[in-house]
Amino acid sequence: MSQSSAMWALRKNRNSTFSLQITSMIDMFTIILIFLLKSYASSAVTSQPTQAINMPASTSAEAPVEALKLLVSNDGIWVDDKAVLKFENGNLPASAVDAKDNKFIRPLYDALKAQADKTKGIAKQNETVAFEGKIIFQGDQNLNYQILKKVMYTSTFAGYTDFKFAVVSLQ
Amino acid sequence: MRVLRMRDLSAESTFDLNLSATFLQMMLINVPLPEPVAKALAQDRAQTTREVSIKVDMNAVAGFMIEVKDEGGRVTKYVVARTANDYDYKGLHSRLVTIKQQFPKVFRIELNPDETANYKMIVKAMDASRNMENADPKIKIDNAETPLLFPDVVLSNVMG
Repeated sequence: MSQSSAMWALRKNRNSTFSLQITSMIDMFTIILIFLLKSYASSAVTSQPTQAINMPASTSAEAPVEALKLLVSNDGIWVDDKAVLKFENGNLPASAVDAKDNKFIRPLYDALKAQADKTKGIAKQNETVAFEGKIIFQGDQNLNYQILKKVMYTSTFAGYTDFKFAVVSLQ
Repeated sequence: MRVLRMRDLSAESTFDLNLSATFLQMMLINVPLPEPVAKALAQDRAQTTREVSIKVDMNAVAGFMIEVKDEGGRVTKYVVARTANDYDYKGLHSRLVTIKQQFPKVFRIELNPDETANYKMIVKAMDASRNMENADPKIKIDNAETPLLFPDVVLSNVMG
């Protein structure tokens, strides 16, 4: 290559322009960001309310502990994110309540008992696991005590006697 | 914050792309209670029979109805009337502080909510019962000031 043609090629490179396609890069960054936010847990206990509930605020500063999650909204009851019972007009359906004991919610008992048996079964195989009967209760702030009382009453029969109310921290 | 500047040479336009993501790991500060308070709390929790009992009924009409039974079996009753639309949580707190002055080594109360009470009301009553506030008179246990009022709130009418 002659000197003049080399100079011409250099000049051509200097004046060249290109367009940077950033759309795909922003997509990639967004995906990475969402992945990190979803997967990074700063606490051993995470909670993702599956139902539209408005938890009450509290001045309590206790750290959350790992336990079975029981959620009661104005629409129904969920155990470990699985629907157990749907309310009828905001109330317990008559079919869900035991005929001989109107505080005993049969479907809730069955779901909690299954969870308790599962944990106890694991505990037999694994010494580091123990059934402690703890429940993290997530409830809507407008939940009636009449229902809450029945939920707690039923839970005790399934072996869950240590209730921990989940609240939104005011601290 | 990291600022990434990109330049589209063809259009000679510039823009800034601000990317910022912060990850916070929550830590806890363990603040132990003064030793006499911690000892009194442990003793109170270990009790199987109680000489002193404090019951707080949430009544939709009357408000908070408090019943205190002392070591001699004497029963004293107090009523914290409702405000216009809600229970008087500040009134409850003030009354519990005066009761705490009488029984500084008791840390447990029994809360009996009315069936018409909702979850939010119960949590607020628990908040009013749990800790001392800055404006409250100082209560000492063996010369150590207690930050706790009645932290052990038991919903005693669940099984009843």
